[in-house]
Amino acid sequence: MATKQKRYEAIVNALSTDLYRYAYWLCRDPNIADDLVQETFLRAWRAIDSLKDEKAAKAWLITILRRENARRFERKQLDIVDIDDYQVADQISQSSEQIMENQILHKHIANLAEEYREPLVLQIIGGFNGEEIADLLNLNKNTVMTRLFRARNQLKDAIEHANRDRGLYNG
Amino acid sequence: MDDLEFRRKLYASPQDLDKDTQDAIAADPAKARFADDMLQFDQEIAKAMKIDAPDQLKERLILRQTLFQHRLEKRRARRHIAIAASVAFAVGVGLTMLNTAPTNHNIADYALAHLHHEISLLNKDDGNVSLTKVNAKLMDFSVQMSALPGRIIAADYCRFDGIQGLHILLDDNGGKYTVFVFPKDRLLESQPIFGDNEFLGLTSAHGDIQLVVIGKKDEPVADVSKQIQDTLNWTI
Repeated sequence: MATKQKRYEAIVNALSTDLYRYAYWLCRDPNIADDLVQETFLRAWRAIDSLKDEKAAKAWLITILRRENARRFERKQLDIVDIDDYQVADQISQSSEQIMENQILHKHIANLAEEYREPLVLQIIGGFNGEEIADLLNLNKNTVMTRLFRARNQLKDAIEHANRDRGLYNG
Repeated sequence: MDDLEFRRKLYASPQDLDKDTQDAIAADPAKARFADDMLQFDQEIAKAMKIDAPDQLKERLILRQTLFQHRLEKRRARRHIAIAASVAFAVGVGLTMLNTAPTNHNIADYALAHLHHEISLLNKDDGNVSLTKVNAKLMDFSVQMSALPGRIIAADYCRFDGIQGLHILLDDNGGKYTVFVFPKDRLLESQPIFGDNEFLGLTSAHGDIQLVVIGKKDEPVADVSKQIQDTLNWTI
């Protein structure tokens, strides 16, 4: 097995971006997300010997991050985030139409209730299936699938509504 | 498969469809279009979700871990010199005590446990070693002392963890001090101040050596340490 250092660097390189994205969609604040990721990886470094299989690294990190996020609430660091203040990532080389749609979607994803937003992010960014999400969130699989359904349903409704408002609906 | 069930499946997990759903899609062009729509929508959601990570996140995560590890190693090294000093102290005070003591696998633990007990032996020791003798032994460390405060009770080589040093016992105005001279490059880091509720130890670096002076907390350890430091001079 590679040295601790090499293992750690490998998981940073492979997973830190997605972990950040998950953290961002969980707390909806880029600075808090950054802090969460830093703390998560530090704990991961300390506990890296307990990671037996690199394939389990992503789920392992998500679990650590969820715990870190929970601690944030225990410490009463509830940050009330203004939805309209979300920093949308720079989007280079996209038409203004695309950028607009992206921003609208971004806003609606952020607007989803956490119980719908979290499974969706785990599915789309994390690439986890229903069973894996159920494990990560301590829910049963049916509940997870229902929440995923509702998440997409709400997003689709929101987009269609927005398109209608912009006169793009050809209904 | 009825429409409701089909819709639920496509909305819950459009990219991971079971066989029944795939069959339903193959059999019905309307369902196929719906499936395409949902996949397309998922791509848009993915694009919106895939925000950029902050600047140099990877580099910062690796740097932070490196610094954390470095700090951890420094802390371990500091403990090393503090324990080593205590060990040498115990060894210097009375070898006989070690022989009669209960067996202990870790000499550092043993020494720490007996450190306070053995200080009483110092009071019985009325040796008087000349500065010349001390300097003869100090030649091994390429350093000399032009003077030493008080009476030199003993000056012996000591060895622990593969490092050879010299320890000197002093009695200055009734206060007992233990002085160590170690070669500098054998030690990773040393803590400038260490101690427990009875003793105080001060470490200083000079040229190729480290100087450690330990005394009782209520004694002027800093003064004695300074005096000794001022006497140091270098041999060729």
